Amino acid sequence: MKQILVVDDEKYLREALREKLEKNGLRVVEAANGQEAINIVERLPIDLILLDLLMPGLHGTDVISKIHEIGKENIPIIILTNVDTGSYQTGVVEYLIKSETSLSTILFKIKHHLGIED
Amino acid sequence: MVISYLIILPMKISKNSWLIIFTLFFVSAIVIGSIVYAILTSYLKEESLPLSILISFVSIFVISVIFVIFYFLFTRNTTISTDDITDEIIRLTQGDYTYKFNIDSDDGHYRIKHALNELSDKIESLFKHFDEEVSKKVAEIKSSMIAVESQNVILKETKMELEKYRQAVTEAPIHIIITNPDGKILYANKASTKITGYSVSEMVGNTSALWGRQMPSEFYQKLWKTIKEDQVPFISELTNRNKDGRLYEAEIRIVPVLNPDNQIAFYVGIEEDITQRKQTDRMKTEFITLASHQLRTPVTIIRWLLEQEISHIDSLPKEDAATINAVYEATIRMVELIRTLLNISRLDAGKLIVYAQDVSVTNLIRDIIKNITLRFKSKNIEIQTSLSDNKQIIYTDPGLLTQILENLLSNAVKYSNSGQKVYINVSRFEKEMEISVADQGIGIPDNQKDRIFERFFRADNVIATLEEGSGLGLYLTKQLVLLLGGSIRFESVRDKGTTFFVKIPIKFNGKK
Repeated sequence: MKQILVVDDEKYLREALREKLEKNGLRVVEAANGQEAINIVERLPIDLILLDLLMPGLHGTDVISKIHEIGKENIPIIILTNVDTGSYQTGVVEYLIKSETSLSTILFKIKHHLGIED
Repeated sequence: MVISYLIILPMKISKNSWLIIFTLFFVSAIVIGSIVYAILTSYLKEESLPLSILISFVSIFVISVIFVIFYFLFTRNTTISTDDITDEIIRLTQGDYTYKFNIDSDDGHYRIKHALNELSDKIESLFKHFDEEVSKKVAEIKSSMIAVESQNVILKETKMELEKYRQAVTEAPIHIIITNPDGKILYANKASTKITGYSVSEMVGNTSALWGRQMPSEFYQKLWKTIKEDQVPFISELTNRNKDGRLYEAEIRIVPVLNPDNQIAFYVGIEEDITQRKQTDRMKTEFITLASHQLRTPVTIIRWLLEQEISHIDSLPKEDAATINAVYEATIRMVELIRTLLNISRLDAGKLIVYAQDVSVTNLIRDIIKNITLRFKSKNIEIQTSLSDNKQIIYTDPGLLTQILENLLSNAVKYSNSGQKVYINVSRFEKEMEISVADQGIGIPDNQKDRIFERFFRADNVIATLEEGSGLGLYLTKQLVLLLGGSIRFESVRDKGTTFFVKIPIKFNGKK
């Protein structure tokens, strides 16, 4: 079973994502901030990361740099945020605006990047 | 007597001297008469005395007559005409060179007169020539004086004109400097002293490095390459430091001015302090970022929670289901409105940046249809496409293209009636992709067709049908299409439907 890391400081959003993904056969690990996310990536096997950018503490772009530093640059990252400022960093496979994206679309994108057929 | 006469004759004799000569002759006549009388009385007798006196008197008379004859003879031929010549010569010396002597063949001064006439002829022709030369020169001087005068008028006008420009540049409320081809400042106007803090005399003779030199050296290399080698204007924002040491942000424009040989004659530099403007821009951007995050996050929570409810909507009571759908539609409208407002403010601030990448138009349209179908679940509209398995990859900004097509598709659904169809068609051309969105809806009134892309414009029939709507959708759609380097047009028949055609370049050209 594929394991997804959801990084977002907003609890309701993490829960909504967890419910949607678990219902569709994916395992979910949550992180409420950047540092937590890095710790999890170091410890657990993660297949894909849903990453918010604007969080207290580490910014999402810094999280990506740290993940690269610990040699986990192969993990595909989907940016899921409400700030549309950034261009793509290495490792980022998708850049989605939370409010403009339905849960179904997110699930569809994850499956697409994991190579899971519907 | 004869001897004295011969002595006197060649001398220059005036009229008065003739009286003395006459007296002299008269006395000598008496003396001769007396001598004749004495001689006669010694030969004759006492009694013949009256005869002697008579003879003496006769001899005096004869001598006098001879003298008178001589007198008239000489004054006519010599003495009187000498006086005439003198007068005539005086006329000559007084400048009357046109005067000619009357030449008489029996005139004793025939040769003199002739010579004098020749002389006066020569002088006259000389004077005539001289006069001609002088009047020629005078005419030349006159005409050149007229030319000089008219040139003076032009010079005066030019000077006034130049003075006007000089004053305009000096007083212009914008920093203007003029430098030589090496960047040495030749002129600095009043406003330049305000920005830099240096006086005109401090700037002239110096270079703009006086208040510059805050940027990396590559910046100045690029600047000089542009204005010196490429000979085109250089426009850029940069940081400078004024005399007080305060750093300020400026926009500079340096224009090379070429002489007729295409060599740089001088540079004109304009500088504007944009510190304030930049600060406002930054605040605006910060506000946009903050607002986007702050507004979007709660909307996302509502949206996703509603989506979870919708996923098992069939198990809910009908009334609840209707409510949830209505709330969901309103939420999506809010999402759209936030996106539209943010994009318009970014567009206005020039901050809407195109992030181009390879995009599958096919996948993009399928995603959009999914979203729209979900959003207008309550409205029974079928969306049909001509999409094949071809991914139709183009190089453009997927986010902006999504917004363009979502706007058009949501309009098509919104302005259709239940049961009608919406068609999406994709055609690939050599350099562009045409995507059309056609509906069978209410159409656009003919008299409002040319206003449809205006900001805040909403057509009459739209206002009558739907209360919601900002009038920003098509305005933004067109702006986004233009941003991607494309074009948009439409065909519409009232109550028959509308088709929008969007053309997007297959390869986005960033320089656009």
